[in-house]
Amino acid sequence: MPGKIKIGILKARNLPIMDRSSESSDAFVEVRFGNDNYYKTPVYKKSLDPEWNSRFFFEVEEDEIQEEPLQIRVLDHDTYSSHDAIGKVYIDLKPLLNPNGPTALNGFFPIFDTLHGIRGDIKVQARLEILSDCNEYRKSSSGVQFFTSSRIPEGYVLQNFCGFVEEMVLNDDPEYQWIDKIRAPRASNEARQKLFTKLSGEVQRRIGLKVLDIEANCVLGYQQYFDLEGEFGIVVRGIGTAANIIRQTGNIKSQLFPEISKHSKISPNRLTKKISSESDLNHQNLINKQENQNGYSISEKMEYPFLTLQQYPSGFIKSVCGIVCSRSVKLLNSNNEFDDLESRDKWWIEIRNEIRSHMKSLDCHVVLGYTETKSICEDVCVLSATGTAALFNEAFFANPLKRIDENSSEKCSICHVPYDETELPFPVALSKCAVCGQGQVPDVIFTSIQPLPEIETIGRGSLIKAIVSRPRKKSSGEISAKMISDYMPFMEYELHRQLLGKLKIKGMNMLYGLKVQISIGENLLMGIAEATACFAAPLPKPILPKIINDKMNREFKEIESLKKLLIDEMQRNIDFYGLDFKLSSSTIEQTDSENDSKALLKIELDDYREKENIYQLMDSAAKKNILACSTEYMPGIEFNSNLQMFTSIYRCEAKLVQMNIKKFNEIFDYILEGLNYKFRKYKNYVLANLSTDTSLFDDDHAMIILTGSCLTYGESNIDIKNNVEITNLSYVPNARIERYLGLVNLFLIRESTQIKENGGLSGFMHCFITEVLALVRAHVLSLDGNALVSFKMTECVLLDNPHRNQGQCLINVTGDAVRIVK
Amino acid sequence: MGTVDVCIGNNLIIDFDIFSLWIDGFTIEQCKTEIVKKDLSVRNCKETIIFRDIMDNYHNFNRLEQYLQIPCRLREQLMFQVSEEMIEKLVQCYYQYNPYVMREILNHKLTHKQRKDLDDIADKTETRVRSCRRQFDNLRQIIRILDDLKGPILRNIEEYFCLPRSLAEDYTAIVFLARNQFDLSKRKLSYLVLDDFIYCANQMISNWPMSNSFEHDSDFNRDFLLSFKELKILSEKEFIDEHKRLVLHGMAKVLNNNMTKDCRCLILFDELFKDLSRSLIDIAYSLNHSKDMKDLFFDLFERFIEPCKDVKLIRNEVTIFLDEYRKKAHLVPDISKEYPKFSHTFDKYFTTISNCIIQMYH
Repeated sequence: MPGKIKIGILKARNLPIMDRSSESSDAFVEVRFGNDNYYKTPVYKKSLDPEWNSRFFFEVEEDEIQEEPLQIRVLDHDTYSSHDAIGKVYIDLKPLLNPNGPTALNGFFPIFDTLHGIRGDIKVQARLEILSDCNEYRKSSSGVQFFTSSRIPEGYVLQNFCGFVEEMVLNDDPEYQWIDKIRAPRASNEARQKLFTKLSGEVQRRIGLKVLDIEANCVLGYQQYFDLEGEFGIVVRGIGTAANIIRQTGNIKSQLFPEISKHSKISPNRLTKKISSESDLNHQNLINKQENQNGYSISEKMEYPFLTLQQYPSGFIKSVCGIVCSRSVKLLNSNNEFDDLESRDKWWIEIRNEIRSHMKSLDCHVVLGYTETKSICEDVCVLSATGTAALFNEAFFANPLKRIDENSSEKCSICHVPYDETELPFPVALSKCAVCGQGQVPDVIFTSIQPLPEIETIGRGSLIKAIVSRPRKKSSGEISAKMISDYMPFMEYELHRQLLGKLKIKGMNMLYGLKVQISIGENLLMGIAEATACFAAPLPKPILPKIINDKMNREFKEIESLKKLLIDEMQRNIDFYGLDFKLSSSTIEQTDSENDSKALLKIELDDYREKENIYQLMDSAAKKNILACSTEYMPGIEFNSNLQMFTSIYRCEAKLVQMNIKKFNEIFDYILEGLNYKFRKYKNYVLANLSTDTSLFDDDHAMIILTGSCLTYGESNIDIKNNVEITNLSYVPNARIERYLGLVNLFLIRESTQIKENGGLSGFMHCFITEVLALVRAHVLSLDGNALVSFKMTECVLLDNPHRNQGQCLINVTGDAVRIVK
Repeated sequence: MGTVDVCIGNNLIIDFDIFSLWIDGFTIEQCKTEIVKKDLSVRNCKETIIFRDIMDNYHNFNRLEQYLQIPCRLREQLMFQVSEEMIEKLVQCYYQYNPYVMREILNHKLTHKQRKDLDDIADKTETRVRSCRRQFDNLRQIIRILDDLKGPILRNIEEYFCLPRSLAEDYTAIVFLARNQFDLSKRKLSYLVLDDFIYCANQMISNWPMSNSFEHDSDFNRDFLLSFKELKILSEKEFIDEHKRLVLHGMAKVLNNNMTKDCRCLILFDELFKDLSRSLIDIAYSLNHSKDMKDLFFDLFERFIEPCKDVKLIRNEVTIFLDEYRKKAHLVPDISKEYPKFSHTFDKYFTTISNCIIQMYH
């Protein structure tokens, strides 16, 4: 349906001097939208603060608004030569399509140039007038709200989950096209920025169509990924959870969700493809097992019962079981009968099917906190999918009034295992629940979701990380892929062994927010796992790891001293985290019973490498008094205020083959210590929601990006006066989100040929990130927002050429623009 | 240490200890040494961590500098999220000057050449060249911006440079001195410190009317300066003797505690009166010539302060003399018949000049 965008290009300020002789600029603005709409303002002569006050309108199609950004280009007029570019602004108009969103966009936007950074600001207004489209075969999907926050938005009530939605588009990367050899860097960068912005719009539009198809009204926990496959192109993927939510009105009582009787319409998307007979069979089983559920089940309705959210309304989760994960190594250039997009689609379907079967083997019927990631190195890529298998309360949607009393009665039941003691899906040590004494619980639970308030925890939580790295031979193609896939299980095992060991030594028994990242370098493979550990009351107390010494020739004394070291470390942890239990001698001694042997972590001392491992298991965080976690909430601590969100970037130049686990651990400790130093003036603070992103380049450098939030607790509210709060949390401590204003999704490239002159690569990166944050703030302000939640830097690639003094960096950031009230 | 090692936050958090060291032109390495010296609590931290923190701060400062040079831009810029209090604090620190350095800068014209020769000043004042350059650039920047603006200097400085009142007042005086190109570089004036000149400049700014055409705000009203010509009658023979009698008589009344000392003082002034009086009137007479205006401080010193100092008159005695000189001038008989507005013009001139002399007399 045609619509009208009314645009005002009002004025600019602080423009750069483009004409040396007059120390000013003759600026004018070009505005483009899609292929057909173009407008040019008059030239404002000799001023660094020009005022155009141009107002005009474009006639557009609705689906265009979903895909195309409004492009504003500021130029310096030159009579004799070609006009010089000052910079560009891309404005996403999608938030204006949302019926609950802002109606107009108004504010100063930094003018960004890929070669010079921010050069002044321009004041832009935009207002949208559109007739809504009711055509069933329409292309646009406006009205579907996207939330990157991985939870039910504040102020909304969940009515039902409608399914897992995904979409993917593939395109050539302009950087690798032949034309790039002859065009200027600026043109190339701008072509990429434009394309990537457009592709992500297309993905959202298509997902929107699917969402409308399954009669949902929003996408929650939307995750967007850019897979830069180099010469193979660029893939933009989006996954999310389709759901129906309504704004909470005065009284909390929500409506019953509408009964969905008809099957989803056949549409040209891939969601309703064939369901394999095997899974049908499983459905049968499920229904048989849970007869009392009257036929309605998420898992039945959805092809993939995967939910991308990490926080759920209380009462929704019935039981959490554990992590399910699937990985697969693929070759990008494999010439099979399918086209590129189709083959990639197949890969993901394979993985999702595997996850689904894992989930079923655990007798679970939903996967929570689901994510899909892809690591690429040249022509090999590793696809991973992870989530937490769980059971949810079928009665949750059917009977909203019952929700409250239900969760108060059985708080510990979430930890109880869903399967029968006699038919264990895998060897696991079960014991009686420490709270109710009724249910069976495993000795540890690993999850990828945020801490559940329902599960009682004792003491404080702690960050746990495990790193595995292993050199690999330089190779390519098939051989390389095979090598990686052969090693993958060992890596997985080693990561879990480390996590388990560290968890036990911390005296804890539960992991939240577990995230595993696999990085492939030319000659190195690396895996990093991080999570928040805590001591959950229903689960059994951890027992000291047992040291097994096979060889008799090792001296008894040495073993004893190692044992003592472990006990000391564990005791120190128990005290530091306030876990409030004693390492009684009985727990140390009693190690022979049948049940324990499964639960125990055994450390076999075969060679000296193993001894190293024991030291590795003892984290240094407690010694340095750093409180940190990888989740948005810290078990046992209530946050007061958000002091600062930080992005720490570290790149080391070293022969990667020589980088071992110890060296990587040292780097992480160094980064954490650096943060600790920065915030030394504050007494009670936690580094929360820490998330690392590691990338390996060539064979000689690695880049580690650590993002997180510094939050204070137990202190009087530190009021930080700022216009726009940006946080990677999905909430703002001590504030209420009043309104969600739309997704902010910026794709930016910055290039410089004067790296040395501007403080080296460090200076370059510092400047670029500062600029990115400034741009984000401007976009939030223009939507009349004052905060951005769930900030995420999904992509950050830095390339450099020291000989040419060159550097290029590419960043994608996303988040939800909101209005908060403190 | 990595090739990239940065930490960036959404709110600009500034370590003002590091900021003031940066302003003083410390390199990162020097800054680190200084911080470790100062802050005992950081001693057990790794040096690289302290270094990295300083580097992050320096990256911010280097970016901030472009806005600090035009502080009103700091309020509207979007690059950094800075609170109003922070802006005030930053600007105040950035525009803080070292009086010794500023005194040296004012000795010369603010030319591009001098900017390159700041090393000498740096050596002389034991300050870092970078700090000198910042102070030099700040002053030049203020003058340059003010050139394009109309209205009173003080208001403009407060508005465009977001400076607190007292600092803005000082800069008003400094700009005034620099714009009128007062010659402060004479060797004989070298005992005077910047505060002396700021005081004198402020006396002139507040007491003497400025040009009405706003273009040259720091220029004096020409008619006003020309009116000083009329003061010449005071040094004419018929009046000077009477004036001298009145002044010495008046002084004798005021000075009456220590006989021997007072006698000496009166005798000295008796001898010097004609010369001093003539000098003061000559200075007034010549102020309308811009060359003589530039030499005002030197003239005051050479023709009044030096002769008094040579005979070891103390400041208090000079103060009493100047006070009596001013009061008694009105009482000289018949003087207002010759020049009706004499009292008014003389007071305008002499209050300011006597205040300047007293300030400079040390």
